[in-house]
Amino acid sequence: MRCRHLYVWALMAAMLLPCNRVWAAFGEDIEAPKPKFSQEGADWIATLVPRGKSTEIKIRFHATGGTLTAAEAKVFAADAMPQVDQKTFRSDFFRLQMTPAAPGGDVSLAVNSNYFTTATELWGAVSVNSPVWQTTGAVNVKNVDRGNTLTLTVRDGGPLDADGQADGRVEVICGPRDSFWGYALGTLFIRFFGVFIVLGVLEVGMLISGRIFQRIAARAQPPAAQSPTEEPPMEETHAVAPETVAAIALALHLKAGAGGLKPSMHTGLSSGSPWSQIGRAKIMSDRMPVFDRPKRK
Amino acid sequence: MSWQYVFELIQNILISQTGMPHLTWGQVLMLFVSLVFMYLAVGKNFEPLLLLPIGFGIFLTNFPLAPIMGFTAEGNPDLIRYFYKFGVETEIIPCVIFLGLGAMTDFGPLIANPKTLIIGAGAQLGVFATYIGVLLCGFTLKEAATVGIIGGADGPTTIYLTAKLAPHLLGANALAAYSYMAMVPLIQPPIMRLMTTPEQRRIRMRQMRPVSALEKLLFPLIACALICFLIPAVAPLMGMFMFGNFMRESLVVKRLSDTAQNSLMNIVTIFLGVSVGATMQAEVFLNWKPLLIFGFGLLDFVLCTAGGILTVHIMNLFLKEKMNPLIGSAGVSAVPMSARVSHNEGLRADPNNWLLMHAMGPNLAGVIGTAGAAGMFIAMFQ
Repeated sequence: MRCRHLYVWALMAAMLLPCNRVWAAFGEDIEAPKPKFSQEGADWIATLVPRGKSTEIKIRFHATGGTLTAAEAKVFAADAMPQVDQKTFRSDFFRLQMTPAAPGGDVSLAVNSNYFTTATELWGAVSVNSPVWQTTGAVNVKNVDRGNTLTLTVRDGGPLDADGQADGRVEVICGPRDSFWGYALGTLFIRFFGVFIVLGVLEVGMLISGRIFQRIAARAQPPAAQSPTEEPPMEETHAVAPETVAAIALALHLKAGAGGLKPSMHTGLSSGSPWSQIGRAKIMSDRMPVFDRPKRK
Repeated sequence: MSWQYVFELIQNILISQTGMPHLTWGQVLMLFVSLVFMYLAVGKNFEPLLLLPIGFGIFLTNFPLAPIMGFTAEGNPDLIRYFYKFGVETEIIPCVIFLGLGAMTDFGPLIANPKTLIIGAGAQLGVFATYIGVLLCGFTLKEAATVGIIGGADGPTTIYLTAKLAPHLLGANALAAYSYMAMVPLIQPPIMRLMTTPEQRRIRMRQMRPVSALEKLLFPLIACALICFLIPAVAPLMGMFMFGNFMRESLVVKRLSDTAQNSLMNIVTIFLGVSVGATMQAEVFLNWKPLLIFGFGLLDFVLCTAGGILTVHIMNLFLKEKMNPLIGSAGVSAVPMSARVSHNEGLRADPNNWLLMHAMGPNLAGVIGTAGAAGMFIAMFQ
């Protein structure tokens, strides 16, 4: 490697060095979901574009053993939950308010979306006094036609109730969570090999079509060309070695470069062997159409 | 009329109707950046067809109060915002450029040696590896995808993907892609020499078979059908690319093919360059992200080059007729610069080893591979 190429590497290193500073500089969460809520009967539906997606998804909330009275997005400040990586909560956080059948009773909350996978967990603050953000233990069930449903039972005044009191009101703050790096690396690995598969399929297609075309071309050729071994070999093919060709080309070049053509063109006298004169005539006749005005477009 | 009134009038005019009092240091810096890129285009002949309009776009958009890239009081777009809105935001221009590129491309070397398609896939290594690196630096998934695609060395694909996934990075990504494409002859040779032995660089490859006109005619149809079946997300790009090539190979619409290759391509290049340049306003552009994008873009190019060469080494383990690993570096698109670099490096090792046409195969495969990778990313976020 030459020294003059070192600057390329130095440039790259200089540009990548501030990575750690940059992390802090990227405070703006430009992909943060902005859910819109609507009601469908007793269910609440959040419509949002999750992180890392371009299309909208729907998350349906349904309560059994009580009534779901309100659903809204819960916005956390970036430093409010240092133990939580917000990137892993691709579908945002929600604050859900429910009324149990009786104070201190249980309410079953079902969160359903086609976007959820079997690896999706429902996380929330599991302790009122010293909130620890971890999985709520919601059961993930895959439905055949409606995506996955995360089901969670919350007791009024229990650890998942944000107000911590058996007052006939249950407030749950939670968010569906997926492994960010698991998703990013897994899908990336698959897609990298996907490119190989796509181009591999194209290669196979081209190899097959190439064989077919070569056969068609071979059939279209005259019989003499199809079976060259039956015919006596042409003299030129085996008699002319590459060195000879190079020598002839060099001789022609030297002759033309030395101005050997000029005198013969003007005087009409031969300055070379018959084959070189034929060649010159061919070159000149090839040039003629350029000056053939009527044939110009 | 008192003197005081005249002074007030002049002061008001200066403050409200001229840009001078509103000029910021950021804008001054961006004007300097624009001059650098215009110098590279004009003085150094680095990708002038793109860097010149991009440079002028940066120049024009960084004058305070200039109605170039904003909106009027009535909410209508300013001049270049119109170009951007209808050309780039709608993703029309990259597709039209692919139409022209298709009309310019001779797929003969790729059809004659389809094995080289795998090199085009291997050269996408950097695209995916960089994606991880960029994610680690705090970029979002979509941003990381658009930065990763820079290594594919395909300008229109980079612009297409960025406009779709992270439009706020369009200027930096496009500039990085085109700058490094111009620097391919500087970036690739050290990596090529590092990853090959002198004996490997002297490998001679067999003369390719002739390709019939019918094969060339049917190739865009077959390739388009297969790619659109497998990665529908990339159908707009690949469809236009193959349509342009079909026009070229049909030989019956020479006028259309010529227009796609020349006039149409030139027109959209002007609008694309100026629009992309105009997105680089100081308040948007001056942060750490563009600097990181340039850093990762370079790393991306390096890894893509290495990926292509590595793929040839792996393929050679299984092939009877070995391929010269120098053609692996042509797997990054950058048509035809990277093929020319492979050829020149081959000539340095053996003055009678002509690799140009062999390198064109992976070069064209790189275009398809990069578009495929872009399609994969688009599908990932759908």
